[in-house]
Amino acid sequence: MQCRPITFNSSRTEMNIHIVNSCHIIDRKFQYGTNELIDRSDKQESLAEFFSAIYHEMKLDYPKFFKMDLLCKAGFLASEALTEKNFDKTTPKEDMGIILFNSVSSLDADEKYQQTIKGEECFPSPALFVYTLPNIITGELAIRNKIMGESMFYVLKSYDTDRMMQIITDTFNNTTLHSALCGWLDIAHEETNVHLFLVERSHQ
Amino acid sequence: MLELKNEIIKVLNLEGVKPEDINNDDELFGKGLGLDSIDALELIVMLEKNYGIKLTDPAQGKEIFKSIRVMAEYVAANRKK
Repeated sequence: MQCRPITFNSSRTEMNIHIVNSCHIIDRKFQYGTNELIDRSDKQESLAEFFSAIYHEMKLDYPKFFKMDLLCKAGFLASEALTEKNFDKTTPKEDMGIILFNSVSSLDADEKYQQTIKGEECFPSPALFVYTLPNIITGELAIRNKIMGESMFYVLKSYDTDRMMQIITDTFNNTTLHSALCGWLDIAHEETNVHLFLVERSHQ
Repeated sequence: MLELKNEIIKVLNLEGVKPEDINNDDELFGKGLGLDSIDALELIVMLEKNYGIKLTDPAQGKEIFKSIRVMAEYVAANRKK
């Protein structure tokens, strides 16, 4: 599905917010930065295998990644791409937030968890259960990047650029956020529609 | 103990960890494998699902999951499957 990209029109906002970096994950392609692309569209692999391949290609070292559900893995990988250069992951940042959106909530984790509780042999999986809320990803990103500002996850009816921009702008207008990870993360039935951005308040 | 190590690696998604990487007497939690509380709950589910061992008190896990050796001895003594 082609989605209109999130942009910030300074004539519509009370302040200027600009995009520092972006990452898009669609059709087994992982695109970020000015021109970085990892294209695995020709591989016959599951979404989990695709994310593992991206993790290894980016030479990441974060074992917790392998315990995450697919929504968190997508957000984690995209955020690692956005914070690849000159980003301090050790200092707590009260002026940085996380504002995320999708239309399917934690559907993938929900369906997988449901498999563990149906039937006569019912063994609910705690490791799956903890991901049956979409906002868990905001916690994962906050822990990884020491992001201490406002964090939120909105489930919208559909991809709605105007609505997302309004919420992001309102959040910046009403808080002291200087920067944020924000964007859309839809993961369902082995498909991804992920557009994540690192945005900053522009200096006037 | 090899069977148990393989099962733990699979159930807890310990990517890149091989059975030979896990020492029989190393702590499973904290410094050793670095498992957390969710992993502890998964191990409790695994005990019931694979070996028919039902822990009535989750606090028992603290003793049972001390190390692979302690866990293997407990399983051998109590398994119903």
